[in-house]
Amino acid sequence: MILEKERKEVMEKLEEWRKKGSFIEKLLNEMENSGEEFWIDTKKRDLEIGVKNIIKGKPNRGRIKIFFHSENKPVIFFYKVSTVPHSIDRFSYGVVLPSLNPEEREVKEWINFLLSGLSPDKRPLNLKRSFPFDIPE
Amino acid sequence: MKKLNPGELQLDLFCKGIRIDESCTLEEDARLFARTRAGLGSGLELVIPGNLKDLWANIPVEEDFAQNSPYILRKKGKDYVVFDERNSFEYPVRIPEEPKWYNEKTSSGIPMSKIGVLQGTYLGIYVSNSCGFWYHDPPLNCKFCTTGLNVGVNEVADKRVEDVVEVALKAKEESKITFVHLNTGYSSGKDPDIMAPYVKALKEKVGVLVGLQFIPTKELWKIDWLIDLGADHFSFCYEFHNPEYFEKYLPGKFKFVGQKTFFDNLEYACKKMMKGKVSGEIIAGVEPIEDTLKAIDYITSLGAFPTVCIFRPLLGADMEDFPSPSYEDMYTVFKHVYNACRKNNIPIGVVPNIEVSLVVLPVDAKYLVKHDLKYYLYEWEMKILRLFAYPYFKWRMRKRKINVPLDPEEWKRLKGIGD
Repeated sequence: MILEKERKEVMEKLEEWRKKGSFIEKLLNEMENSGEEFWIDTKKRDLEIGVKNIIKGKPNRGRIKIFFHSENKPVIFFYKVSTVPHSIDRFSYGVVLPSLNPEEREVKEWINFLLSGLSPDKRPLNLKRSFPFDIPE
Repeated sequence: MKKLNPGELQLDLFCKGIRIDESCTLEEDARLFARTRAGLGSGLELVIPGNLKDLWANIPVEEDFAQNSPYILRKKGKDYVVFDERNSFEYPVRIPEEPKWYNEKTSSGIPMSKIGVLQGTYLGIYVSNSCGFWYHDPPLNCKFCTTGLNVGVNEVADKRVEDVVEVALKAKEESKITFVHLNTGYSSGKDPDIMAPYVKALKEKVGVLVGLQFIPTKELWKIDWLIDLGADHFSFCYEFHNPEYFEKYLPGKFKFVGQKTFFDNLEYACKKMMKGKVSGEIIAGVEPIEDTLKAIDYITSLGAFPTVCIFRPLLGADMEDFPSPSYEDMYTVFKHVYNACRKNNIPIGVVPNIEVSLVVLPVDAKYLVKHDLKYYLYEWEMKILRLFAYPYFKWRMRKRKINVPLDPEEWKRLKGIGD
């Protein structure tokens, strides 16, 4: 489920991003049906999603950031946030360049990767760990 | 348990990492945390004051093993201490402040800290657009490395020569750097060519010592070309001396370069440069310790100095779940580093103002050895050398016109070198 989806900022964010392609709708549906608690970071310009599960006794540091590299070219960036207060360092685990209409299997892979705390054995098949472009802040 | 000396504390912190207490105000007091290049600089930069010398270290904080460290960084008044919760010992440390230029932008609008960062007291810059090994299918990246994960995330992918020069000028002016270390990933054999314009520009426009670290070349004459362009130092990262570990953990280096090419470059550069100007870089804590000791003996026998990185299981790396090395093993390794440098009379700690936080330098390891007559003789020799070498380094650090072509083939023709 998506936490606080009735809150104005979350609602507006989701509404804005739903317009950007059916892959967002599929992703949000998968999150709603997974039985885990996902949250949306409304302070970020892009769509950033975290999950409130526990990995090896510690809160899951994994995040998904979705942005458009260029028009009609979405990027799903998987990363861990820093444990150091105020650090803006991001620990990349790679990107997926999804089609605008991905298969259900692919969407499940992205969510399972996030839920696993970005575990190497749950890497999505089409994960690119290296990429020749910059990830926006 | 007795209190550790500064060198022992530096080693133990590298092996165990540190946790940050809520009393700390690192956002005001410390340098930006920035995992760039291969990833070793992901931690907390701190200085351990010592009677023999102060020690710089970049201590792991983000990796999983560091979350279980017995060491905690605390702020007491205005000062910082490392607290060991096993025995309640406290060690005073200094947190180097963030250079003001980190928050400035180059004239092309790029934040300067996304071009290069201080790693100790020198400027480290990854100049190529990631490493070719990461783009293979399946990827052939070194299993400990996170270069391919950092470029484009914590540092910009494309670094223009002009931006690098601007950042180096700022770092020289405000942080008093004397040394810029440039490195690249695998670029299909074109690595020296990528370095060349940066070396020339840094020599002509900044006036600074320049160190280069690139994937070795089969065209050994390109080392001469880079020396002509002004390179002051070369380091060759062959990581593991044991060929089986080299093959297993460095698939790209094994497939496209080979351990022998590393050795050939190291040996060639050592013949062309003064003793102590070349380094062989290895990782300790993965291959059997006997192999690491063999590597140190081999590197020092050539007249090079060993740069030994303590293995750090970085977030996102293929070896993320490997254990961090044991303190006892690392003690043996670094004691050997110092003694091997002494035995082979390798100059250490001679260049002005180069402190490296990513590794334990040979000169840092003086805290780990017996202080006998041999130790004092070597230390005295280094002191005298430091005095006499100072004018030489000042001369090397002057801005000067480099009349050397950037086209390697043209240089080769001018030098009359055949194919």
